[in-house]
Amino acid sequence: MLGYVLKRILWFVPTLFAVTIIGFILLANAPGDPVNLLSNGAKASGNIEEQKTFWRKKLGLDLPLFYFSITTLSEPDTLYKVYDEQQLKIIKKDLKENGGYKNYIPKIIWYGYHNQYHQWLFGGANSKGIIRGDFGISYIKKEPVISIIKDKLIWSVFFSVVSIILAYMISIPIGIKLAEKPNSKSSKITQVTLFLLYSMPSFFVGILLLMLFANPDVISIFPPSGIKPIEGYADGASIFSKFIDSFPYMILPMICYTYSSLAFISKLTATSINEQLSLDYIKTARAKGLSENNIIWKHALKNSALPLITVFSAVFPGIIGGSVIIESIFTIPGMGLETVKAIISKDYPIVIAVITLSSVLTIFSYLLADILYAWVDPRIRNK
Amino acid sequence: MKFLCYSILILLICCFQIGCKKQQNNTLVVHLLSEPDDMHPTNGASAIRAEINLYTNLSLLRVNYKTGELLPCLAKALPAVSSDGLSYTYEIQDGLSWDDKSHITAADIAFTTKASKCLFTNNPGLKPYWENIKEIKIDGANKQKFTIVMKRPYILNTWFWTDFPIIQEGFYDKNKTLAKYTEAQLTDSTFLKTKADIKQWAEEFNSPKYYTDPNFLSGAGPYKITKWDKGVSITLEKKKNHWSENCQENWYCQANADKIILKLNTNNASAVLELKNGIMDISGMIDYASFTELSHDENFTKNYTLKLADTYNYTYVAMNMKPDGQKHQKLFNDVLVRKAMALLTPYEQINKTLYENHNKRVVCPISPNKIDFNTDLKPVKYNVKKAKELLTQAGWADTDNDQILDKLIDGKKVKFEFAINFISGSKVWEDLAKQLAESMNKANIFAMLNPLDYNGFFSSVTSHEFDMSIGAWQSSATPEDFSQLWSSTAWKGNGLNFTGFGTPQSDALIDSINVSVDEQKRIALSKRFQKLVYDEQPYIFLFTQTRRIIVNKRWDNLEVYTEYPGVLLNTLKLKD
Repeated sequence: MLGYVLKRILWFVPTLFAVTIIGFILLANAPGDPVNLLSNGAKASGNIEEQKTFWRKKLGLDLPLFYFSITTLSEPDTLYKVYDEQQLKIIKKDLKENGGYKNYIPKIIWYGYHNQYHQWLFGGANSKGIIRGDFGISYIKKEPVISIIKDKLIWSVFFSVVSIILAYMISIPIGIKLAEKPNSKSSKITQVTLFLLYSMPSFFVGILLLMLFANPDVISIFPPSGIKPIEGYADGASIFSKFIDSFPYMILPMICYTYSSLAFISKLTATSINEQLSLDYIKTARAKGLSENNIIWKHALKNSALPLITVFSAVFPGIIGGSVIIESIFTIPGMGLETVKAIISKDYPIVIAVITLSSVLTIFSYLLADILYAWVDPRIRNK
Repeated sequence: MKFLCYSILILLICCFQIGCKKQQNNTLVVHLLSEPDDMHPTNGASAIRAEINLYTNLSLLRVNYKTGELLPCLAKALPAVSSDGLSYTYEIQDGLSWDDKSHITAADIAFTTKASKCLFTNNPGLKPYWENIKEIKIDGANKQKFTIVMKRPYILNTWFWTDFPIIQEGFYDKNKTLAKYTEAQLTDSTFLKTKADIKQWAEEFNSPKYYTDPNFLSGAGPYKITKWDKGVSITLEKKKNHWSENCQENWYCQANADKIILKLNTNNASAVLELKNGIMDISGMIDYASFTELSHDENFTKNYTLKLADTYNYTYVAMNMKPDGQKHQKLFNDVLVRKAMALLTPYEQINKTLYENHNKRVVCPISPNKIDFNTDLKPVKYNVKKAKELLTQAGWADTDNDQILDKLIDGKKVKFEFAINFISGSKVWEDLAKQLAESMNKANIFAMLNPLDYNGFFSSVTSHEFDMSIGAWQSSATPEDFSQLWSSTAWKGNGLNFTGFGTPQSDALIDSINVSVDEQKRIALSKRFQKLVYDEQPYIFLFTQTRRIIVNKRWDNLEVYTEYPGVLLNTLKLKD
């Protein structure tokens, strides 16, 4: 088992490296000059070249893009120092027209580790690098990306993880019940209810929950918006007391986050267990006189867990993405709204941070899934 | 099972206790639709900053909300202006101090100006507003007195100060770095290259802590930002032993609520429920339909006052008067066509269905609520017949019987079909575009809806790549400088003149308005300019926007104003 896990972790490293390169390529090729974006429509004031130089240096954008570049003999080594797109176009056109045979001889220029990618990944004079959690500075808020997304990430991860756990905790017993008595009246009612829930969009359920349970004209049990009391938590409050304070605020959004997964996971559990129940080892277990509960929970469930693990590995990377609709209805300061805002305002460092973190989580969830596969099914690790 | 039922019951009771706690203390909870990006004293740009600054900062001058005139704030009186209109002498009121009890002096005004003008400060979008200030001369004998020397006469030379908070030199520049240099030096890039101390100051001043950390946000106003829970709320607390306690006659000194909590709520339905639950005290951001519904709800009106307030803002539909003829056809070059478009707009239907009949018509580029509005200009009325006549007069006819008008333009047959651009995500604007398209269809004109994200929309209008575009402008009591929206240079330079309106005559008129310091003369010129725009109809002028203000009756002293933000939160008093 240990060898299997180590092998998987070793694969993790190059994949992660590839992800960082893709993330960086996206960032470097995002439309618009980040320095212009940081300078807030700089053309209005005209005389801002000093500021541009200041921000270019601060962001490390005055460096070459990567460790090396593949170009032609006609291009000078310092072409990366031309920032103006129009100017660059003219120079390239000029080089093409006057380069002659040099245009056809390839050249590799080595820049060493003083390059944008190295600085982005490992840090430099003005950043610590994404490897240490520094995703740069937001173009719009001019704050470090990590300080913008840190708190929002916590809420998104919290809601997503708890909703995944809740969904599994509720759906597995329901799925088992459905598998045990697939044609009973209660099974049919449960199935219809679950599919009704599945078919309802989250914005509808969110508003419905608000109108039913946060409305003084009907019942007003839960607060309609936010994630904590208006005046915030008491100074020096413990995590437990913060949780208690926030508890009423979490219930309606949590229902919204969870309900749609119930139908899917319970149906998957039911189908998977049904398959197991017809196998010989279950018949043997029954013949040995084991109780039905024991058979299902101890034997059938473990063997039918593979599809459930697959689903888990598919939903896990989404935990940092949040849900725009639910966050918007309940005013949850999560990553969904922040990401949409960043996309709309072309705040690429935030977008890339989300993409990179999601990719890392995807790789991590596959690793976790592989480990879980090996745990529930020894045949996999023995292969 | 019993244990589970009891546990759930206890939890629900706890939720009820916590969840529906009404506000009872002297804390004013205010609905906030979106957070400011930051609260940096000079570098921020979001609109909501301006409202917060009303309570946490002071300016040299403010607006008198009742009269719409200038009101001295830090200044003792309105400035003494030199005969050439270039020098403005002010004196700061006695006894005003910062939080550390040091006096507010002319040095702070000079510092604010220098910090805003310095090329290293990251506020390029705002620098043009400071560009006209040449220097600030502090009186040698009286450190409260100073003269602001301007480069040229301009109608906003005094009004401009109402928009910018004065910041403390002792807080933001402890070493008095900027005091060593003149305004001219701080805007000279060659000079700045050699000055490491200015660069170092700017790096510190531009650093993230001054953007959102309450410990690094300092102002002279009666409130202080004490907490900023990102994505949740911003808390302002009344300062203790503040000089403003003895100065209650002016609105900017007042601080009646102990705390003002600006609570973020991005959803209309849940904001209505927060009001109904008594969680939120005040909102000016509920949609028109909900506002009307709430105003008919007896249970609600028992606890809340609902008031409508005029604004200086207006909505419009811009028409591209100078398209390239390739990507966008020359549909609206002719004034007759533009007038026909205005006649085809179902104003009453739009106001009724989208704004619950709450909005007033606008007819020209300023709100009818402004003192210089030209009352001779009458609103265009919906008239399909007259519109069709104008279109025929302009040479448009359905020659091929396909139910779409056509015309030969530059030797090419052009159909009268185009796209209406608007920013996606707004249901009101989408419905407005639909109603416009339906109405134009009655005159055999085919209009498609083209929702765009903000960046796409803004880029389409500034690069003149559009046919028709729905938008809104925000304005204030400040005299109008028409150059930003209507001068030819603002079109040529891809600025905010989207339509291409502008002639040498209109440009000259704008220039004359901008230097007319004499109020009566300015108003007369402004009226002439409004008539000029009215006659050309580059926009279909729609409506002024109305603020829907809802205030809990536990608060007294409510007055609503046309000037942003409509209600001054610091003046509201808790009822006994």
